[in-house]
Amino acid sequence: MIIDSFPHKFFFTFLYKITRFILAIMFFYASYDKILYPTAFAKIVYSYQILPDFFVNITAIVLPWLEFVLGVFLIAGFYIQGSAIITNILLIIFMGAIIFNLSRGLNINCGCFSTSLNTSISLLTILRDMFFIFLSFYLIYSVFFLLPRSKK
Amino acid sequence: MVKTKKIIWQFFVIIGIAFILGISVNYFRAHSLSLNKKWSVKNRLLSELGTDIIIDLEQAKEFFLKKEALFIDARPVKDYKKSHIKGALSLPWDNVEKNFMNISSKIFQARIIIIYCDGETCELSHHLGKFLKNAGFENIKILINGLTVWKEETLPIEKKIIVSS
Repeated sequence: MIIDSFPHKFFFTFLYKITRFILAIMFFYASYDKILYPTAFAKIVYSYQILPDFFVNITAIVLPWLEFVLGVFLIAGFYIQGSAIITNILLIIFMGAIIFNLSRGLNINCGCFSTSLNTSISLLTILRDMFFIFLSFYLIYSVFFLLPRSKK
Repeated sequence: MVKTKKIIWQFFVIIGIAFILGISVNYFRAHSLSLNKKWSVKNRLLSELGTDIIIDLEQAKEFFLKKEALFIDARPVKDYKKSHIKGALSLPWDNVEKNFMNISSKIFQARIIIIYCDGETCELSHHLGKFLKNAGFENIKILINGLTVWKEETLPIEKKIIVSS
C-alpha cells in the first residue's frame, strides 16, 4: 500500500493531525460566544425557522457544548470515530440549514461563529462551510480507511 | 459488528456529555434559559413592550383605506426602493437617528403609525417600534411580516420613492 512507505505514512499522519486540529479550533471558536450568550443564540436558532418552537431553546443550550466537547475530543484524539461522524453530521446540517434559508430568501444572521447581529448568511458562508466539510470528509477517510490500514 | 457497536456507543456518549454539560451549566448560570419558552413573535414583542403593539392585517388595511395611518418601512433603503406599501415612508433601522429627523414632522402629525418590515422573524420593525415608543410616541403599531402579508392580500404597493418635505 502506498501509505505504508515511510514518507507517505508520515505525510498522512501529519495531515490527519492538522485536520483534527483545525476542526477542533473551529469548534472551540464557534462554541465560545454561544456558550456565553445562550439567549442571543436561541434567537438565532429561532430565526432559522426550521426547528419547532419546543426544540429551539434546548438546541441553543446543548449545541454549543456539543461543539466544545467535539473540540476537546478532536484535539485529544479520544473517541475519534464517534467524533468524526458527529462532526460530519453537524457540518452537513449547518450547510443544509444555510442553503435552505438562502434559497427561500430569508435574511437572517448566521450564528455560526458569533451571536452578533452583523453576520448575515451569504454564498461566502456556504463556501466557508464547504471548506470545513471537506476537512471533515478527510477526517472520516483517515479515521476509517487510512489509519486502520496503516496499523496493519 | 463490534466496531459498529463501539462507534454507536461513542456517538451517544459524546452527545450525552454535551447534554449534561449544557443543561447543568444552564441550570446553574445566573440568567438561565427556560426550556419551554414560547417563541412566537407576538409573545416576544408583548413581553418586551408590555402593551399590545401588534396590529393585524385587517386593522392595518382599514387604517390604510381610510388614510388614517402612516406606514413606515424599517428595512434598508435598497429594499424600500424595490417595493413598499403604497405611501409608506422609509426609516431604515440601520441609520435611524439620522433618518428620523428627515421624516419627524410627518411622524408627529400621524394619528397612528404602522411599522413593518418583511419576514416572520424580521426584527427591524421591532427595534424601530421600541425606539419610537421610547421616544414618547404612543400610537405605534407593528405589522408582523408586513410586506409579505400585504402582497398576499394584493393591497397596493409601489416603487416610487417618497421624499418628505
